[in-house]
Amino acid sequence: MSTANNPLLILLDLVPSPLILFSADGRVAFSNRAAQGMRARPVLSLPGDPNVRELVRAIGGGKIVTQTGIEVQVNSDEGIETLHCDCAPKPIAGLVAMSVTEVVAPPVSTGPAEPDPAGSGDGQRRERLSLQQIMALINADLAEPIGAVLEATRNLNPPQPGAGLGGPVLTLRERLERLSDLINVFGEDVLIGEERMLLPDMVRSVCQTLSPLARERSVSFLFDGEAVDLPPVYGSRHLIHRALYECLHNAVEHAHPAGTSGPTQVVKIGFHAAGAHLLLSVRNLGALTAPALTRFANGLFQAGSAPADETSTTGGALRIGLPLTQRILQLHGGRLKVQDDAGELSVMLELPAGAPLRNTHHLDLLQAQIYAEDLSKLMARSRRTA
Amino acid sequence: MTARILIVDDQPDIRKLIRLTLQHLDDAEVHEADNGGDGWRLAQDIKPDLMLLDVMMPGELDGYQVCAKVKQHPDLGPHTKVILLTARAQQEDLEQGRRAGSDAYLTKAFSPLKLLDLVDSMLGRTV
Repeated sequence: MSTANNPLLILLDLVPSPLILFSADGRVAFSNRAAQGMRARPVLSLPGDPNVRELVRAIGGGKIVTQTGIEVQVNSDEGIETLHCDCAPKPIAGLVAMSVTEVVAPPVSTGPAEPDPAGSGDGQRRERLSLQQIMALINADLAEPIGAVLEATRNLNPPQPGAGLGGPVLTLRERLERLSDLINVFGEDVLIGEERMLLPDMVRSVCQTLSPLARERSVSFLFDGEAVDLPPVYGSRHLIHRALYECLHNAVEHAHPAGTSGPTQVVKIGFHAAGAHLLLSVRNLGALTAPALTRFANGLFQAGSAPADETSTTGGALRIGLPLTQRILQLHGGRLKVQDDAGELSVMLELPAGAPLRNTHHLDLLQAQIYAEDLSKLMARSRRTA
Repeated sequence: MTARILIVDDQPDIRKLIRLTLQHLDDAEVHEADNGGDGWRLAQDIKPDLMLLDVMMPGELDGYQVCAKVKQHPDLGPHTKVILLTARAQQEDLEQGRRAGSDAYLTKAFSPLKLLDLVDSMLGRTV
């Protein structure tokens, strides 16, 4: 965008603070001299940052964004630098305005490491990538090879007798499928669809899939409320199945403390219709304490927060499963809650009941067109019958 | 004899369009509901001769569920005809409608003439 003959852009060019204007598709439409002169070269680096893209697209698309300021790490001639990017909450003349400032890092101590009294881990946090950045990196690097491996191993199910690699390959395949779903749901173009699902049927199907593991772990399932007339949910059958699988797999895996067995544990699965929502509760997760799981969940789902406690003894399934389940529910307009009811842990999956509210503009136009075409015939028919 | 018709659809424009179309019937009393739960309750109240029922609706009951309830109801079941309205017409959707007990299926976007013909046919009237 040229500043020539555009008084607003000439004015912005004179502003001493670095300013960048993005078009709604995330491209830089204009940058002032101050932004162009920054050694971190934000004009080149910011459009490629997934968090910046997401923020710009959200604001450019007219969404209400509560968090308009983000910190982004970029490469410069001086090494990695952190930029604070702050967007105007609404587009201006169709463009998203962003001011950019360099974040000055605190002086690096050369002495022995000081303990962090508050335990906040802020220093470490700055060096860590956000969940979205990790997903973008994994997507760019691994999505294609994972897809190829899944395709190549499709015929391995069930494992061929005598094929020693069958078991481990299937385990790897299961993990890759989970990772593939994780990448997909955190991607930019997630297709949710409008498949109709009855949750009790899906839960029973997942329990059936998990029954060998449940037998091995002495876990049984108890259903409550499924007989009631429950509304269907609409969305992606594959993703909802994944969310249910992760949740129930988790419940079975952790019904007994790690490495122990004992009397049969019961995982109680409750269904409850509450107004416009359908609730699925999974209770009695055994060894995991409610505060620990809640802390874990909160840590994962807050933007920019540190990863969950790495000293946790919980397995990889929990680490991936919770954010995956949470994300899938979010994409369907629902949410995941972890509740501690007097020491009894409940994981609640909440989904909107019935079909999603639709944008049927296209259908309305088509319907109006058909109606208009048939109107004269309709009138003629009325005259005949009058 | 006046036919009692109940339209259940969450889209107000579609309800209005159907109502306009049904004005071309000789004698019909038209009622409306904008969700499955209200549609089901109204159906029990007014005992319609015909229901025009959208399949995909937000809330406690969708079209298939309302249809199944109507068809299983001792009074309504034998009496009330149900036409399912939907933008989806895959084989699986048609099969789901049959399982719910629907009498006919009309795909959106629909011709008003086709709608009138279907309504006449369901009500046992000749065009």
